[in-house]
Amino acid sequence: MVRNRFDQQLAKLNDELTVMGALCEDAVNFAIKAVFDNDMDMAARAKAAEQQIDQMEKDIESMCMRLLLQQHPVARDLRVISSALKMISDMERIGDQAADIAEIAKYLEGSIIPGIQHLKSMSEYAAEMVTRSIDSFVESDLDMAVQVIKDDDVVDRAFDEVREDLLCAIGEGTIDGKILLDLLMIAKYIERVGDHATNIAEWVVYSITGAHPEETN
Amino acid sequence: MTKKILTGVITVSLIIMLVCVGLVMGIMYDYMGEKIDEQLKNEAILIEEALGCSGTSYMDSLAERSEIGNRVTLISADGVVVYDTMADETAMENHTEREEVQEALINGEGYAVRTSFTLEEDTRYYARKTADNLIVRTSVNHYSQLALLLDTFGMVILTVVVLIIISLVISYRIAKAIIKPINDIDLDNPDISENYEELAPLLHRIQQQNIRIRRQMENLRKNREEFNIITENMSEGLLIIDRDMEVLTYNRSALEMLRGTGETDFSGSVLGLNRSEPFRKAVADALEGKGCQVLMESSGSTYEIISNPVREKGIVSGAVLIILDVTERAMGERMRREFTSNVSHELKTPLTSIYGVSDMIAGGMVKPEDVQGFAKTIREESSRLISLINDIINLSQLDENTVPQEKTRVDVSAVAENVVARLSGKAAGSDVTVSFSGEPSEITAVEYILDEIVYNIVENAIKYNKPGGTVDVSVRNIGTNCIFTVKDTGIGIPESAQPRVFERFYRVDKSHSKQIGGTGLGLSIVKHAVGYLDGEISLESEEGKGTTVTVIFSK
Repeated sequence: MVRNRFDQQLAKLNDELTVMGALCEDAVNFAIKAVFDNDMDMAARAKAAEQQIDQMEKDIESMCMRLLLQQHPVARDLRVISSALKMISDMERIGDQAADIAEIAKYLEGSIIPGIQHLKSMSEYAAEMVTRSIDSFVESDLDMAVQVIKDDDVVDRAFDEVREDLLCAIGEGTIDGKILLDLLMIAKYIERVGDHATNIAEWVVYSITGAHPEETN
Repeated sequence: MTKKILTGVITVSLIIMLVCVGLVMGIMYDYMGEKIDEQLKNEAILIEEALGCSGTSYMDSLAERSEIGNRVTLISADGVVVYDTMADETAMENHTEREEVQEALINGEGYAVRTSFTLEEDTRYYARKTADNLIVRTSVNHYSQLALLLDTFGMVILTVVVLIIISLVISYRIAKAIIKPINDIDLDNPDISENYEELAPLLHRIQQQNIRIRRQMENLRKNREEFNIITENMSEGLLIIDRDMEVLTYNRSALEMLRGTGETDFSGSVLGLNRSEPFRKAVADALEGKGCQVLMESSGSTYEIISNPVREKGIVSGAVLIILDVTERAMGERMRREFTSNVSHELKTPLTSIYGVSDMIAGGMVKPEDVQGFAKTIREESSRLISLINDIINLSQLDENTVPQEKTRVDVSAVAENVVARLSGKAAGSDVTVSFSGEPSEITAVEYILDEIVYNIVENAIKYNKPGGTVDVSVRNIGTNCIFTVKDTGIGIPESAQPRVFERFYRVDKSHSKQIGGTGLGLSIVKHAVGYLDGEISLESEEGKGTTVTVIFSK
């Protein structure tokens, strides 16, 4: 297959975005393991992934700028590049949230976490949303992206449930105040991860259809 | 081709035309010259005669006749122009040196042609010596060859244009006629005899090359097919990627392992297949020129990825990835590790209590009357150790296929009856009724192994029963199979635990295992023993209601 330089650069951009997305998945999964399996090795790995993500954000950003300046892309190509620029900031935020969660995991180390089931399933769901949003990007799958956008509500509802759990625990007096705050922070971060996954999916929709779902609604 | 033919035709016609024009002009010019010379001579003779009759006055009257185009000059023998019809004779130079005059003086007559380039005209002269020693010269101007050429130039150009048009038409037709048979050649099967013989060597070569190409294509197709058959039937996944991570070749196993879906088509970046960390590392390392071997967990399976760079002239141009499903190996390793740690734990527990008790006795810390009680503990723990070690030996014998006895014909119902009898005491102690029903059924087996199977299953049915419960043991013949069933009304096994009950050291209810006794190896031994006797074991259970274990032996 003979491809011109621009096509090659676009394919490279696609690959880099896929790797960055995969790093986000890793970071979130590591962070969740760090919290729920009390595995400090995982916390360190989440941190390392976050640093890699930051570096990749800079690299991809300059790559996009170069493409915009040198190739003057139009139509679909322009959409792909501009959505890439937006996606990397969401991915970078996901990396940050994961690192923050991993940081909290250090404080939680060894503590017994009560009523954890909702938080755990919420975390797993959010991580799965990240995976699906990256999948929808890799496979240019519009349906999957739309589904991810819809699923944001699930995470939001789960956050409310976790909050209820924590409130109950306060009422029963079965929880240490410090741990409670940490858990609430984790839940909030996870909820943000879900939001960013939704944003990524929205940019996937934009790059495929040319219309941003939020604007269309 | 048409262009070449056209140029050829035009060149040839132009050359022919120019040569013709040249020749015709030359001949015409010469002919014209001769005619003029003859005319001039006649005129001169006439003037000579006239001069003879009427003297020079004739010349005067001649001068007045302006319509005469020819010029007449009268020259004396010493070259002085005596008279001229066109010019003033006094102004004219001496004519002795003129070619025609000199010739006339010597031979009586002379001819000359002089070309005037400015006028593009030739002047032809004829001089004749008269009887009274005068020279009569007549001359006339006519077109030079150049002028003649220039005069016909328009005509020539027109002819050239017409010629070119005709050449175009002719060459187009000729080219078409020549090309048609060439175009009509069937290059796949050229017919040498039907075409231009000049093309025969070419067609012959084409024919030979066709055969060679066909043979090579066939070889390629075969190679490709072979390659496909090999890769498609490989249980290992194979992926070949280029340096931009684009997938070049893949097989079905690779897609199944990496994507986990039934898709059979894929194109694009290899990261579209899988983007997990170990996979990325394998790809990146190979493209950096380092071989790499990593383990990857994906949807419950473990894969080993071996990646190697592909080098062309020392530069990495891609990578080959082999993906192996090592789930079983990984699981085997995990089980071995678990077994080792379980065995050590199980062995350590009785030994610790034996050591503790004996240490106390040795230290004199036990009153003599209590020694017996402590010795009992030591005996119990030792017997537990022995039965555990026996179980492990049994299991390893079954595992390694090193059972020390040959298979013989054994009656299952006799063995079962015997076991029921042996266990009736234990059953009565637990308030469980064991009933046996069966018909003689001989199978090929090692008796003590069969006994082990039956004993373990029936013992479990009694152990995990409720007070007042029943155990039904039956042996039946169905077709060529012997069906051995143990049905109890015991505590049952939760559904989630059912797949694991045959694992070594697995206990459904860990908290009561010490109380119930046993090594946790019973069902594991049963499963291996049934496997050793080529039978099949199945288990149905409902929590709280009971369990039915069925073993099918073929006779």
